[in-house]
Amino acid sequence: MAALIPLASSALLLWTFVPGLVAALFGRFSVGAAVWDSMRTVLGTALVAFPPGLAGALFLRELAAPTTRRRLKPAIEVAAAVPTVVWGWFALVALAPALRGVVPGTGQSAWPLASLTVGLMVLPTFLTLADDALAAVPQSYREAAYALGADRWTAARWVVLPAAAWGLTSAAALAMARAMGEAMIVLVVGRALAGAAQNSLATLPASLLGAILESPGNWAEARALGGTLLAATLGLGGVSRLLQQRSPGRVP
Amino acid sequence: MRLSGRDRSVWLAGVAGLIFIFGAMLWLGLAAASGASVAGQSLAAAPGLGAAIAGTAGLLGLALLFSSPVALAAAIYLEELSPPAWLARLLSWNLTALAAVPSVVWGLAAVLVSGEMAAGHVSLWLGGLVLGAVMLPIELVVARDALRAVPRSAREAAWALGATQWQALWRVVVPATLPSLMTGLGLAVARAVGEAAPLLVLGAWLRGGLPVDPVRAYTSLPVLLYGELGEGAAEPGARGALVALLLMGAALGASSGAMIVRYRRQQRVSE
Repeated sequence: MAALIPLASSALLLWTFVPGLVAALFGRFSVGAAVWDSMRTVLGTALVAFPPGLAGALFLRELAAPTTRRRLKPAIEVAAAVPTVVWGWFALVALAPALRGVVPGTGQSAWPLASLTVGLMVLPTFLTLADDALAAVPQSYREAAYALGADRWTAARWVVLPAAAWGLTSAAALAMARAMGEAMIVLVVGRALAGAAQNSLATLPASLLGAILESPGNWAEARALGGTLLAATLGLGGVSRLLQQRSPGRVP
Repeated sequence: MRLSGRDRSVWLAGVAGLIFIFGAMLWLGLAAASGASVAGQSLAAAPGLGAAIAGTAGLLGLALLFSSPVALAAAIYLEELSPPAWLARLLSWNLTALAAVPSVVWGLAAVLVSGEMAAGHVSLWLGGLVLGAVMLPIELVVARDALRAVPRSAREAAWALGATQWQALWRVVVPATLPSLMTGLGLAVARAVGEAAPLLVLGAWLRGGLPVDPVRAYTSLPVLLYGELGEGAAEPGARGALVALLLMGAALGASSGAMIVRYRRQQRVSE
């Protein structure tokens, strides 16, 4: 019985949001601007989070001594727990002035600030997922490389990394789903920088929340935005799951 | 085992990065908070803070109450009672899907299903239910892995002594998973304590006053922090800093508690 509750809650979500998605698809509500803002925010997030996340995971799993990994991994997992609204606060208090100092002119526009903040927020999650993807590569692959004379870096770069490609893509898709659903950071950053209209940023979740907070009772638009957001995140989550089920690939 | 030179330098760089970010958060928060107390404002008497702490505690308690029995029961069903293969696959896919649902969508679903309530008619129960939905996939994944990690021989030993399936389950298997279940609860609390978006959708109290009646009005720490930030001001004040510190402490405390339990246990098992 109890096992059916998760199923029932999914059914409830579909029943609630499929009409909204249909309304959005057939143009009764224009969600195009929000979709575009979501896409560029996810892109910026990926630029911020993926390179250091991948490098960190490669180091942690392939190069680091076991002691290093044992100490660092829990710390990274704890870092993933910082609430997103705290990240929003941090963006205003620290990241905005820092960004303004490093690249003049960017501290006042929403997209770079939101991308940087969401990227930092997603980084520990992506690093942990990427580390798991590397861990899924069988030990025999590494041993075969060592037997052929490869050192740890060569084995990591030319054997483990290609073999883990699908798993890493899966980790990236899940991290992107997380970034796509992030409402608070974008909302806080967008509202703080609301002065300049050309700098505004309203992703799907942020414009959903904004619509509800500014005009209570406007449920139809919120439903369309929510349906689109749900479809996008479930799509990314499904892609991630499908890729995860592929076994480690053959090394070219 | 001693660290090699290269390992140590990269380790130090990683730790320094973490310390830099969280140290900056802590320092900015403390500086702003102490600046305000020097200026004579009493932070403890800040309006809404007590209500927010009480609201957060109430929401978390309800969410745990709703979600943890369901998570444990569903995990037991999936792992111990051998459901038909198609149902197991369906449930497993469903779990992936639920984990990917953004929390703001849960809030909106709750509002829409409970009858498109007007602002001002909000209840702690609904908030707890929504946070429970956010917690459920986290708890369920951890509980499944924990049940899977109990060796089959432990069950067989119980059966050999004449235990029924349920006796083996409740007296041998579930007690063995308790530390892992605690880890799951800690991670779920760490995630749910900072959720602002679904509560904003549900109409949680934004700022000021002490709502006395939890059926009609409540607030929580993340909602209060958003109230401090949402003024259009680029520089949030001392109260924002204080709330951010409290919130970060709660979330990091819950998740480091979970990590300590998890990694202690791993060490013990591997010894």
